[in-house]
Parts: sequence; C-alpha cells; structure tokens
Amino acid sequence: MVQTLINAISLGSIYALVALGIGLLFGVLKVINFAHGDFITIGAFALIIPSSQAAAEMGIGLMPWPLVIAGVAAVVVLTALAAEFLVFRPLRGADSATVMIASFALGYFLQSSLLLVFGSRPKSVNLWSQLNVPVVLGGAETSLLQIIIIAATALLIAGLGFLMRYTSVGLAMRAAAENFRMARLVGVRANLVIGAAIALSGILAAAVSLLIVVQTGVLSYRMGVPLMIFGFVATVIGGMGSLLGSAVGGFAVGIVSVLAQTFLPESARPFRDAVVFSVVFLVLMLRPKGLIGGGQRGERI
Amino acid sequence: MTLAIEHLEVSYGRLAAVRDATVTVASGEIVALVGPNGAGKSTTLLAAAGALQPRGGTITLDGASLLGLSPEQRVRRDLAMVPEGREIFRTLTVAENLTVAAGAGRAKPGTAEVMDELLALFPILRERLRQPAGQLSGGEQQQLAIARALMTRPRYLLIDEPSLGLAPLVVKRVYEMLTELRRRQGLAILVVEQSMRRVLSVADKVCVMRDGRVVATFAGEDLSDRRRLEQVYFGLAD
Repeated sequence: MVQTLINAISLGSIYALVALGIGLLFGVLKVINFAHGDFITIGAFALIIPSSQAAAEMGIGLMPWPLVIAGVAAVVVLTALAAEFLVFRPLRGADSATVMIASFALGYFLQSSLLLVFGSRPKSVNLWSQLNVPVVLGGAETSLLQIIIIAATALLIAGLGFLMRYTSVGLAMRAAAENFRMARLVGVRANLVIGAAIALSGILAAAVSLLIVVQTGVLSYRMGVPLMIFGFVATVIGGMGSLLGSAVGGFAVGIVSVLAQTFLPESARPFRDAVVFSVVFLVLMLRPKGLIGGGQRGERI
Repeated sequence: MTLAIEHLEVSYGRLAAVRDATVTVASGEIVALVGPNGAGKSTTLLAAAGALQPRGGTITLDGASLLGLSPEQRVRRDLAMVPEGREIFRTLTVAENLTVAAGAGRAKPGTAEVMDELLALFPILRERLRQPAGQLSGGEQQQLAIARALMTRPRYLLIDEPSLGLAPLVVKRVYEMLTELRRRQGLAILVVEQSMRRVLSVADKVCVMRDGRVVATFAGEDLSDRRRLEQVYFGLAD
C-alpha cells in the first residue's frame, strides 16, 4: 500500500511539474503552450552530443551533477526564451486560437529539428543510474529515485511559491495573471513578465527532462508529447489560471493513473488511460472550472 | 507642461468610437471630459494611456509624442490611469496592489515615503493593508485604485468615472481628494464623468463630448453659464 502511494505521488509529481510549467505561461498569456512537452524533449536531448548514430554519446550528461542540472536548464530556458522572441512576441495582440496554433507549429518544428539532428530511433542513455537503487521505507520497497522525484518536486513547488509570493517579479506575474491590461497600466512591463513566466516554465521543463531520463533511460524525439497531454489535462482539471490548481491537478492525474494501474483487473490494465480520462471527464462535469475553481478570466494581450 | 490630445480618432474594428477629440490638460489643471453614455470619453482616456491604438490624431506629453509607446512606457513618462470599474487586483492584498505599481514605476527610491504619504491621504487603506483587495467596499476600492495610480508618482492622472457606483458622500470625498492632490502636488487631472454637476465645482475646464467628438470646451467664466453647458451637453446647441 505504501509502495502504491509512493508510486502515485512520484508520478503525480512529474505531472504536477509539467502542469505548473503550462499553467505559469497560461497565467500571463492566457494560452496553452502546446510546445511545452517538446521543451522537455529538448532538455533530455541536451544531455548527449548531437549525432544521428544509434548509440548515444553523453555530452553535458558526463559533467558533475550540478553542471548537468545547470546545463540542461540553460538549454531549455534559452529555447523557451527564443520561442518567446520569435513566436509569441510577434503574435502579441493576436487572438488565442492563433497563438495556440503557433505553439503547435513550434512543437512540430522542435520535434522535426530533433529528428533531423538525432534521427528517429530511440536512444538509450545512462544518467545517474545509481539512483535506481531500492530503498525500504515504512516497510515498503521503493527506489531512491522516486524519493528524489518527490523531494525535487516539493523543492521546486516551494521555490516557485516563494518567488510568486515574495519577489517583485512574482508580484508582477500575479497582477498580470489577474488583469494583464491593468498591470500594464500601472507600469508592469509585459515583456518582462512574459519572459519570466516562460523562463520559469523552461526550468520546470528541464527538471522533468532530467527526472524522466533517469527514470526511463530512453530518449526519443516525441517523448514529451504524452507528458504534455497529461500535464495539459492536469492543468484543466486543476483549474485554468490557478497555479495551485495545476499542482493539485498533476497529483490527481498521477494518483488516479497509478491506482487504475494497481487495482484494475489485469485484462483491463491496457485501458488505464481511458479510466484516467473518464475520471477527468467526470471531474469536469461536476466542477467545470476545475478542482481549484480559480479560473480567473483576464484580458488577452 | 501639457498633455495634449489632438484630433484623436479611435475605432473598434469598423465602429468609430472617437472621431475627433481635442483635449489639453496643463500642469496643475483639472479638466473634465463629460458627455452622455457612448460619447467616446473612456475610449479617449484609454487611448491616451496606451491601452488602445488610435487611428488618427496626436497625443503628446510636454511636446513629445506618446504614440507607439506601450502603456508601461507611458507610466514611466509620468502618466497614470484609474480605469472605469477600478480594476483593482482583487486577489492581491491592498499592500500588494500598491507595491506592484511602485515596483513598476520609474522612481524606486522613496517608495516607502510615497506609500506613507498616500496612506495618510487614504487612512482606510492603512487599516486594510493585509486584506485581499477584493474584500474592500466600492468606495475603498476606488480609493485603492487612485492610490495605486499615484504610487507611480504621475504628473498626469487620467481617471474614468470615479463616482460610478459610489454613495454621494463617498463621491464627495473622492473629489475632495483629487482637489487636494492637485493643490499639494500640482497633479494634472483629466477626469471623465457622465454627470456634469459633479465636476463643475472642481474643474478648471470642461470638455463636452458627443458622438465621438469634443463639441465644446468651457473654461473660466463660461463655466458659470450652466444653461448653455446643459444645452451643449444635450445637443441642443453647439
């Protein structure tokens, strides 16, 4: 039971990080960035030397761990900021549908670029495999990695909470998330707030990249897509526009997913995701604004 | 030292909301823009603040054009706006509403002094500093909206229907504060109101707007000719 719980929280942590990354940018842009999953993929591929060879050769991934984290974060944040400059900024003032489609296009562009450089075959990599050792916690056997995933998520959420609550850029982001036009009318710089939001979502994406690569040991140019879908769903059921909602939604989706995997009869397990999405459907029928029904409406910019 | 809006034209898609508006506000002056609903008053203010892009005309501050500047850049040129409906940040505390504007304004040093000064002017806000702004009453929200705009230390304040939805006594207090601000800081104020009666006692100049046009400007002795003002307001005279 404890083991199932740890599995659930650990998977929920990953989804919560993805959902927060999506939710942060949604807060200020009022648009879902469908390329967020591809930011995660970029972070994973940043570990290896660009090559279409089947065997992956570690690049950044060979460095001491603080440099690996910094390196991957830098690559993803730079990609995210480039996306802001080249894709989102020129579309300021365009309607949401246009920006959303542009984010899809950006996602496909990133995937195709990875395909071009690294090839289509999945690559196996070995990053920090020593973290996959079993540990016994509360009588249940789990892995050190799962504990680290949960701890890292807790740390990132606490850091994000601190930043939003106590720093001037966090305050500006909260004001902008509530009413972007008014925030600008009291002098909040639109580009600064959006830049900060996308950079932070890049940092969260980089964290997911690392955690996923350590857990699965596989790189594939579409690896971010399923994460994006679950993260998006988590953002929606949590309550669009609420960061707390994104985190809660992420944990909820992870927990339901693991419970379905554990308690469904063996023959029904391939339909685990269908169960998860049915629960999502049910939640939205009962609470259309999501679990944390913030759902602030704000001006598009 | 003048904010000059000249021959302004603003459209929402094909709908022309402002066709020809000319309003000038000199330093230390209170100018009222009055007119019936839909005359284009709020649109004129929003265009001056940079929230809407005009289709024609000019907007200058001390001779320099503001066209093409973002709202946040105009705040740095000492222009602040209190929009209709107040638009305070409801989920932020009163203190945060004020701080966000201070952090964004041009002059960071002395923020604490400005906040202290404003809290002395709006004592009710001091009592509510830690409360979410959404919990304030309408009158308190209006005071917060004005104080928030003043945190940016503007020389020019644009304020849209400050009396909307407020009890007469509160309205009186708001106008007393605006006059006090002009007296103390030499603040220039462009205030939009539907009701002419409210602004006549405080304004140095009244511009009457109808169908997107400023049709008449009254100043000095002309302001005491109520009958003529009313005729122009209702379109009975030009």
